[in-house]
Amino acid sequence: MNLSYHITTKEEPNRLPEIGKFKVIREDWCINCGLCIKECIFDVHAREGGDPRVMGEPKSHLCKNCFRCIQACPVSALRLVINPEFEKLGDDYWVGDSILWTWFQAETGKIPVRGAGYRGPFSGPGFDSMWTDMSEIVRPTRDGIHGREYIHTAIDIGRKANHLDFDENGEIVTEVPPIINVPIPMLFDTYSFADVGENVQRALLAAAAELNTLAIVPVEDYEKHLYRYDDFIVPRVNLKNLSANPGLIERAKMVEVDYSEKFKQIFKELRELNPRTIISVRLPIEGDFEKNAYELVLAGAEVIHLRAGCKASGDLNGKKIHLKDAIQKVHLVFVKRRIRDEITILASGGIAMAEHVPKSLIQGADGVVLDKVLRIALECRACKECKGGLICPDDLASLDYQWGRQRIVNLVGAWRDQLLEVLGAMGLREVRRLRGEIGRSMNFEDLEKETFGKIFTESVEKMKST
Amino acid sequence: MNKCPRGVHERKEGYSKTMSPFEYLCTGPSCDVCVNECPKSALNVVKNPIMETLGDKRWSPELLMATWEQAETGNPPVSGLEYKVGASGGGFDKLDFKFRKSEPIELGLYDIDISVDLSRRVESPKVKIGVPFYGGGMSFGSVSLATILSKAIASMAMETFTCTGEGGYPESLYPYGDYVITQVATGLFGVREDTIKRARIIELKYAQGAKPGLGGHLLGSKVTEDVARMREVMPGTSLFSPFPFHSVYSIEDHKKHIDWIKHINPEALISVKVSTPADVDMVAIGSYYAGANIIHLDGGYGGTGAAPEIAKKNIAMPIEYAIPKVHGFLSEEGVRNKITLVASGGIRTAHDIAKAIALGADAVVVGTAELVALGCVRCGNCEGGCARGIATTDRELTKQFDEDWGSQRIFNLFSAWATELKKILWRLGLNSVAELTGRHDLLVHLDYIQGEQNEI
Repeated sequence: MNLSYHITTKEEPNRLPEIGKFKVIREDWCINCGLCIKECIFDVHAREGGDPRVMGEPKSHLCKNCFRCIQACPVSALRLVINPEFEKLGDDYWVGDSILWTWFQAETGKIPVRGAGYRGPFSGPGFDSMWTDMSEIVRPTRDGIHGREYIHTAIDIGRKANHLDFDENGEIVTEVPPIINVPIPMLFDTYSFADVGENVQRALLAAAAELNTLAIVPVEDYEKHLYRYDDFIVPRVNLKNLSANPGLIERAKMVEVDYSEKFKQIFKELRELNPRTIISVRLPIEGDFEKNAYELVLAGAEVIHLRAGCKASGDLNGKKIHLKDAIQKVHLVFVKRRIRDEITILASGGIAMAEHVPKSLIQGADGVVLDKVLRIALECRACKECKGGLICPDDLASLDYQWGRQRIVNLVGAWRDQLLEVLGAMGLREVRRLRGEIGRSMNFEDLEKETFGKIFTESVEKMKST
Repeated sequence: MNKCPRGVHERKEGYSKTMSPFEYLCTGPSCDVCVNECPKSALNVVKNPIMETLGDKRWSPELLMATWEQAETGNPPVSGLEYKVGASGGGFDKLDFKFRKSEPIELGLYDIDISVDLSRRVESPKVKIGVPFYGGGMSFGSVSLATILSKAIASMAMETFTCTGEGGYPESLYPYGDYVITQVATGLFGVREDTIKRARIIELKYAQGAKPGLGGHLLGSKVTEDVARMREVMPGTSLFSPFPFHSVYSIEDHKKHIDWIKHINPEALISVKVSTPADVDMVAIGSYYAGANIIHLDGGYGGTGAAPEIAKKNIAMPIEYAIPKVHGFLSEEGVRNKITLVASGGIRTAHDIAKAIALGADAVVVGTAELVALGCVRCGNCEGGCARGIATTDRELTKQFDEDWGSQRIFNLFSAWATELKKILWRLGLNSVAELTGRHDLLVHLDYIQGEQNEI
């Protein structure tokens, strides 16, 4: 038990010039009257650049979109546009707004708070089709944020004994399998870092060590000098590279295996190397993944790591399936087979925002594995230049690993605080109790069916009959 | 200059050049008089590119501008802006009315009754509002005094209510006391025997839609001398309202709270403001049996001075689902006619109000729209110093408007809504807004009529 688990966040400023959502443009017919300096309360406008008679270039990243300078300008010389740099961020899944918030959290360690109500679409696909529950009056809530109650966020990874056997003296005879207690339901994956250099890799491992969580590292990426992080490394192997780093697997508490049809053979070889290690299988969400998951468990896998693409989608025989639905399928297969409590389900791919963590858990995962978002914490813009073998415009490789460590710690700290908010609102004191608690969420299809479906299908039918 | 019917172009006397066009007066490309008349083809009408940076999915740029227009003119917009729905792609934005094909000539537009009786129990005191909406709670501290007074004066003029929020009862509100709801929330800031006795409605706030299950938080920088005095705290300290009421963990505890209020002020109606969890129907029926007169549901997409983004988007269901759920459940339990159902949380327009009522509410509560009338652009920087002088107590920033201007703006918006509501009822062939409650048959949902459009 991590009775007083706490993540220490510390302001860690951006390395690169800030990108704001808005850009204030000063046209050349500005008369340099300076009214905008007085109007702006965020110091966007100033007389700068050596000549006090001339207005400086607006500091757009400070702009909060209040329109005061625009309205006040006597000659309409100011314009506001969406910053073209902002529009280039990310893609349709990793949207600019969420990248900016990720940077904010990595910089400050604070949770995103803003005034005014929600401003997005009514609902959407995937995670956006779920709302989490809250308790009031008839069910009490918990206060995790202001520290009046401690909410546990720890999970256990590994196989849990279904029951215990005792001998006639009352001694346990069951061989209790090893488990790893991780204080947050978030693990790290380094696959997406392989191409950005050693500093980034090291930042991530240092953060994993500080947070006391685990990082999945491809076995051939492991270098000797990383030995100090051994306790936090989950080597990722396949049949070919099992012996790429002698000694590593023998030491590992947990090993992740890429899914292949020859999984029985890999399990056997792994067990020979390290009989006590926890075996996790990295299972892509495609084809008959639920059936495969069950077979893997029968063959001895203890952790199923469901892997979606970076936009949280999998491939179900040509049809797209969202990570959240895939989690639920596997979860329910295990529930039906009465082995759910023995197995750990991890999920990854497209975990882009703090809310995706509780939502994945509600759907049935024990924990999630973070990947791309960790890289964004290090100021990656998700531009994908590196995918084409081009040079990273942000030069991630040159970062100081201590800076990177703090950025990742900050992000995870902010995410954990948001998880506490969600758990607190539901009245839960244990993240483990959230797993598969579909009753603690409301989903779009159900609400729609219960309310609008009832109202409008009936009325449409009535109209047809008259 | 002479051709434009709206006075967009002007040349001041004695000047050789024209002023830059007053763009906000222009009705858009549908009128192209100036473009056609210009001998040099020097004029061009395009959509103002600044709209891209304004508003969001729920409050689209057009909706914001249309609301400003209503606040300026006091009438439903004539500029052709979309003023009925936003662009969120669901909920109210996907609902529409089944208006009658023929005009209901037997009905006089101005005779339509849009007042709502808030007291349903035989023994409860009579309280009626002139329009089917009232103002939401905004505390002194989260917004300026001028904002609070503007809301109160406009409410008095419309014979409806405004609410103190959880920040005490400023003395300058006393003249409007008959139209002010005293809110009792979890921090109990500024709640006194006197303020409870003063009000005709007492609102027990259990949760807020924008941050359900989380407490309130007023940053230290907003707790000025005046705010601190009102809340009986030290200036400059951050104030937390806990969640929940630490004395309420059951309906019985809840009843004790209501009894306590009723003991202090037997003449007041009790409103219970709750958020929208999965079991919101149970909370509603429980509140009825605990003695509440009004059950006020605050949906997840409602406004706030500051809330975690994760809570605004994800926690608790949108009000559009909660209204029919609770209305249906209270009807099945046979108590629907003994309690007033009030809805809030994302109600932006007169059409939203009518839709909420048709879904099953008796009246609604609005908040953000009032602030938009005061010039809010929804930049979301309420906790960092409101540039528009609304959600701030800073001495300099609050100088931007006074309650004379503010109350007129809000009154104008409310009047425009009242006119629009009467029009909606008239086109539906209804005599009063009370007849609209729960009339699901008058609504259509755009997702459910695809392919059957012709039949409706």
